[in-house]
Amino acid sequence: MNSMIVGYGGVIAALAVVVLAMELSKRKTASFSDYATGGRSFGPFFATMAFLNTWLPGAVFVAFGGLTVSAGLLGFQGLFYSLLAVILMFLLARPVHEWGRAFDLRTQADLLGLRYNSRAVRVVSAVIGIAASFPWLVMGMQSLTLVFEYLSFGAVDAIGAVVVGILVVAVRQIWTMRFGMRGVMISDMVQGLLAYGLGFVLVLGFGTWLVTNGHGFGAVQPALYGLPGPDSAAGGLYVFSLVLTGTLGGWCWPDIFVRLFTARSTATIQRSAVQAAPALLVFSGALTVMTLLASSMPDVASAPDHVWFLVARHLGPVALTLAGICVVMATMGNVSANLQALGTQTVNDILGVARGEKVETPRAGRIAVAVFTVAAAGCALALAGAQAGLFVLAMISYQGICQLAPTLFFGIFWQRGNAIGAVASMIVGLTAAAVLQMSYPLSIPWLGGLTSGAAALVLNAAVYIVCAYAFPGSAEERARIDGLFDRLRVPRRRPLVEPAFD
Amino acid sequence: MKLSSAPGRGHRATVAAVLILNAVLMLFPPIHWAIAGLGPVGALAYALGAPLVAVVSLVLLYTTQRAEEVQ
Repeated sequence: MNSMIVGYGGVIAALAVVVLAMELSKRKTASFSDYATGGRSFGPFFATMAFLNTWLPGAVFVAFGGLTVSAGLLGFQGLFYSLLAVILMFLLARPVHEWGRAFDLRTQADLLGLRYNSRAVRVVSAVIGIAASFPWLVMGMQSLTLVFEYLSFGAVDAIGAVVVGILVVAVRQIWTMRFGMRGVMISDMVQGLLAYGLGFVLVLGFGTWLVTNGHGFGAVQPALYGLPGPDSAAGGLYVFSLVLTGTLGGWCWPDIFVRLFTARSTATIQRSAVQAAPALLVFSGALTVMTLLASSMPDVASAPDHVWFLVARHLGPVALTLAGICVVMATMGNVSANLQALGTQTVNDILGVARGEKVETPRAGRIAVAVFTVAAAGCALALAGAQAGLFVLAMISYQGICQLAPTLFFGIFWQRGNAIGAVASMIVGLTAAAVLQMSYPLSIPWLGGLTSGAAALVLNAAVYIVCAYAFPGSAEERARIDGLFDRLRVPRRRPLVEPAFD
Repeated sequence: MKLSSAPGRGHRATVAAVLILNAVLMLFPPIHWAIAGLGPVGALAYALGAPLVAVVSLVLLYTTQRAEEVQ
């Protein structure tokens, strides 16, 4: 019982620190735009921490740790696609921020609606983003099960731990709902320091303990030092597919993309990319190496997803509590950002478009975030015993969200694409990805191991390019698009609004 | 295909070089297939070295862009 008090008490104390930081930095939210983007006022440090806390959910300690234990070097694919995505972040910074500030854009769908001058593109991309994100939101709420099971030290069973985890996540969202994006950015900073700062210290400690207790590099199974080749069950193009869809798909998630609107300038986003890259390398690299070392522990080999907790348990209740806090903080960042993005996207790009007006008050955003929180918590509780089915749905939605990539990246970096191509490619890609994912959950053998998402992306991009040439658009529309891109060629100016958070 | 949004010719060349280098290092399937033959040290050197190249590339991108802005 005393250990449980340490475990649960530690999590409550960490959450109290996060809430206190949010309350102390409270500011009046003047408009919906302010609620959705935090007033575009954050400096590079906040932007970096917000990106990391959204990009690296609690799953990096659990599911990715488990992947490394069972598949070895394949666990590094997360680090690969993360760094490629950060390079894309650097390149996206200028067009997204400049257009965002000039046209008061609040969401990814908002930007696509502007680029293609199309309500259909805006609504379709918003619906895909929301539908694909919701299963991950529900899984995020359920993902704290292991934390509260381990930190109870045997006093709470798995079902009880699911309920505790969901309630903790749901209650924490009261502050997300109240403070909007500004609250998310502040909490991401505190949560990020705890999850990855404290987490990195723990990783070093766990690694040292493993190496000095007979679990060095020589004890790792030799097969784990390879990646799937052409003769493997997954196929030769499997790793390529995972890294490609992870890189392109990462910027298709609404909660990740909206980060580009919260920074105060293009330079801020680019500086945060330069800061995020080494942080990702050091933290994710160390965590992956540590979990690879732990693969030689017999208890870890029999329960790979538990690796983070099993190693921590060997070092006592305090280490286990700190390990649990890291997972809770990482999960909170991801779930809060997801809820905030889904709420604002629903209000801004579906309700706003349906009413034919630009939403200006933050009240509607708060209500939408509250509705999503209740709905996700309800689904998480109702599906507490059906995680397998939810996981299948989540994998389909993951392959589906990647299908926004051609519309997004061609739209931002190529002037020729049009609304017909955007809508057609998104729908064709989504349909192909869903059908292929149901038939080939791992990879497609007759395509050399391409995953469903990667195969559908090829089709999707082909449709987009064919439409771009087949339907060149009116002279007026081409002039409008030229004007949009010309904005990016004018000399850089200092931001009109001074930063509120450095 | 005319690409937009990247300022300056020198910077564009750097962007293209960075994209090609990192895409080849982390996406090119024959490199993935060759890893198993490198042994533990070689495999780990690749797994951590390729991301390190990405980090250095980003710093290079940032500094070339800043230099161009100053000019």
